[in-house]
Amino acid sequence: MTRTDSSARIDSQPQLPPDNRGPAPGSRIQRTFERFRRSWGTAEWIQAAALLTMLLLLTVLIILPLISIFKQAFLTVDGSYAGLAYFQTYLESPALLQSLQNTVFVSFMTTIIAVPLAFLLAYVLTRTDIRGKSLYKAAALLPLFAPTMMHGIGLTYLFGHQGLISTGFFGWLPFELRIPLYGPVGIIISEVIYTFPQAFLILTAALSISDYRLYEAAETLGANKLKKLFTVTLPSVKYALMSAIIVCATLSFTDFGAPKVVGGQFNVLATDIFKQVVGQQNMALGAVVSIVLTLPAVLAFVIDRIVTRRQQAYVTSRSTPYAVRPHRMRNGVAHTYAGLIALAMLTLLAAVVTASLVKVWPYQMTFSWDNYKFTDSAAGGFAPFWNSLRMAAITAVIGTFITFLFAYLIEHIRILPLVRQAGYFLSIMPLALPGLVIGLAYIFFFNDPGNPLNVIYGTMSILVLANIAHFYSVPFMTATTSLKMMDKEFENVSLSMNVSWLRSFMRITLPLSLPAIMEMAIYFFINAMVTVSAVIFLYGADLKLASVAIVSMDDAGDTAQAAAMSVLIICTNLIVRLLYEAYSARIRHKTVAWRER
Amino acid sequence: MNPEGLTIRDVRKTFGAFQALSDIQIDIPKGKFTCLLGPSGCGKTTLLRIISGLERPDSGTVLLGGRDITPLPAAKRNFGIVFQSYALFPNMTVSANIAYGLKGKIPRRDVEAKLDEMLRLMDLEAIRDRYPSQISGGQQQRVALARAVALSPEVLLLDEPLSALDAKVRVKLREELCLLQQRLGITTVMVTHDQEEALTMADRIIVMDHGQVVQIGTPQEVYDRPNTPFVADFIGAINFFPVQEKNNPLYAMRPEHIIIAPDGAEDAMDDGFRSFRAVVQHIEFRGAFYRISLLPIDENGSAAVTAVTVDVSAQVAQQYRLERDTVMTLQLPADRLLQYPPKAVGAYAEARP
Ligand SMILES: Nc1ncnc2c1ncn2[C@@H]1O[C@H](COP(=O)(O)OP(=O)(O)O)[C@@H](O)[C@H]1O
Ligand SMILES: [Mg+2]
Repeated sequence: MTRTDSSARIDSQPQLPPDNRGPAPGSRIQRTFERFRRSWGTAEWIQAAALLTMLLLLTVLIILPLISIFKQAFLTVDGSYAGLAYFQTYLESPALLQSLQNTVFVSFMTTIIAVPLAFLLAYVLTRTDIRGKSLYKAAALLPLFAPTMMHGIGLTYLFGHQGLISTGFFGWLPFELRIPLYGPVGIIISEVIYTFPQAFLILTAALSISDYRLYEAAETLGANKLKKLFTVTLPSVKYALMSAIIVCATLSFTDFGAPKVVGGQFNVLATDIFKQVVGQQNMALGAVVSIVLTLPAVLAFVIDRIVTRRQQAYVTSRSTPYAVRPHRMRNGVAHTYAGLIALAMLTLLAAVVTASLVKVWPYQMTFSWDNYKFTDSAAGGFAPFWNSLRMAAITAVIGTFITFLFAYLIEHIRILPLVRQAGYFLSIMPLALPGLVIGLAYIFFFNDPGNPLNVIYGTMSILVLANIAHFYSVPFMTATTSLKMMDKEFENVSLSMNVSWLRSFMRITLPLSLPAIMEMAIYFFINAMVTVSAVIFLYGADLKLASVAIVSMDDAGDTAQAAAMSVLIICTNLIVRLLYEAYSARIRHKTVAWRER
Repeated sequence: MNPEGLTIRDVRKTFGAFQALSDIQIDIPKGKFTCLLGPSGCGKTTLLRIISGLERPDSGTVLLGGRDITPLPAAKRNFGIVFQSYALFPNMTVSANIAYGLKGKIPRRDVEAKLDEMLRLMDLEAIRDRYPSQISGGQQQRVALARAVALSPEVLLLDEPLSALDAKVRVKLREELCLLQQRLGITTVMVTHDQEEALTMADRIIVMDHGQVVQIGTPQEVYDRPNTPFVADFIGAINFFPVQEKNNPLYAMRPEHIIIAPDGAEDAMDDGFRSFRAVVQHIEFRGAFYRISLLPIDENGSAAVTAVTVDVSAQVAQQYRLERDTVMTLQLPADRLLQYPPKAVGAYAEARP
């Protein structure tokens, strides 16, 4: 009797039976809904609508296209279930299996070369007090600003048949230094150059938060340098090392640009997909290879998520920063190593720039702008460059807007936790998706005549959407981190979605997030400029892009023009980055005083 | 010079333009428990780090048993150190942390034996396979201590080892630490800013202020005869009796030494007491005693502004029925009266915020 009373009071729903086995599922849903209706004001309904719209958009941008890949792989042309027939075809093709083996080999070699090299540089730049660190760092990060084809092109000018180094400086030296560039060696070197800055950034971040107290504790317990390395340094960067390994392995496993330029007869999965789809119009097999390409990436992604969480738990608030003691010999070694890396990066870039600015490498080494006129048919004039620029700018603006908005919704709204979790998961998932797979998924999905969205096929819109989907995750995490750092007090204000919310958003959240927003926009811009994998399937006939032009010019043998286009891209990116640096230096000036209260 | 223990001579240390330590002269006796006591930022940790070898002095020498060890790096000194925040290796179990310094120093068979001995000694056997993040602050502290003493160091250095713990655990570990030190008979230097900790634990206290040593002595000496107003104020409670005229000495007395008597009991004992009347302002119950603050009254009956603090037992408080606005007579016994030259007074007044 008493129980009935109290339950009635709590639920204020007297029509429910006083049944202690609980109400039937149907009425429970009804009850939940009732509770929402009572506790949700207009603000909550708007929030819910915003969250659901977000989820819908992410589904259209990511999930539905992926499903269409699976459809291609598992359904026959007339729509009946094909089972594993296409996978069987794949497994029965020795050439395709050879590519899989090649890809694994390239990925493995790249990782075991790039990670130690990057670790050493990160170590040298965080654990010594040498001068010129920012210059060394800038040189190491140069490859981030270039399309991966450029590394391949640079290598051909250094180590190719007419390369500067392979011919012993065009015969000036008494010996030649020939390496079998076209094939695995060229691909691996290109991939090392491509993945090096990524690993370097991850390892630098980890090494610079190591805890100096542990080194002192080890020191007082009589540990020598080697023991400290194995018991303090390496354990503290263990997870970052795993993360770097995963990133290098995944990037080199899925890259398309470098194998296209220096691969020669050495096939990898990424070039296979391209050949199956563009060359032989075999969509089903292309889809199968895409799945084979994605599976390891997804696996790596899952491992990386677990590992990253562990790494964060390792750092405590009591950690003290590493104190570098002066040491001349060590600094000498450090300068030498960092200098060699910088020299390698700059030499590569210099070779490409030089090749683009001479008449005919290596026979007529006189200055000429001819390569920048892009007159040959494969080039298609200047239009591809402008298209790329336009695409990158639109991607940066719309991508940043969407990403920041979604991160904000997921971070600041308190209702519908499941929807927010789903949104979060969809937001970091693109990290695991290779560009080629996104490109292919987008053709399958948007080129389907039954899809009302197919009007955007072949337009700028699909390119922009593919780029946003492709590069969404990193800016999303930047935004989330920035929003998390913001004072919790503002959150209460933003909970009531009304005029004062809008004002607090515009006057507090947005200005405080400006550095992060700029960082996100730059990331979108630079990556949209250099990417080739996602867009190579998607560009329309009159919408050729700079990166695609590089591939086709190189294919057609116009390597010098491909070099010129690469130089245009890297210059654009560097200018954008430098403008941003100048701007952020000014912003930092203003907000640092603000943040330090 | 003490040929047996640690000797520090003329040690100076600057950080940029900031003088962290100036002209430190200390003798630390062998086998004894010495406390470096001083307010936060006075240079205690810096001095301890110089003793440990983790920091180099700008000039001066550190001698151990008469041998100059100044140029020796920390790894070669065989000193055990417990850091303020323990600095346990987060990726190693309790056992691995304790055995860290042993491995490679003594035969493998002995490592196990020594480890077991340390685990038993510090009562850590139950948690030997846990990681630092899985044990309490007090346990972490004991692991850090075990790790530091496992190598049977010549000197044990402790930097505020108890400050991160809550009050209950702190008092318990104080006792354990003293017992351990006595059992091992190891020369120990502990840094603390907590005067109670220093008074209860140390055989010898070295009081520091602004990078200088201001007093060295046993806890009783430092408490009963603080040689500057700063020390008197920093250690325990103290009343200062400012005298208006310049060039007069500053008098001071601890609250428990002031005798409280009924009003008009001026000449109760005529043996050099100074006495004056005062009105009760506030009574604070402290458990075992009451802390009373009173305002002295002059001949005209008007009260002074600075209060005098007196500690009385519960019994006395009840006997006199103390309450607010009661007028009492306070007597200052001459043998307990502290007296400082006027120069020191000026210097101290300036140094106080
Ligand atoms: N590495 C350092 N660089 C600059 N200043 C320091 C450094 N270490 C300590 N100091 C300064 O020296 C003074 C004494 O510090 P410390 O010995 O840690 O004091 P305590 O341990 O007594 O609190 C402080 O003012 C501190 O800011
Ligand atoms: Mg300290």
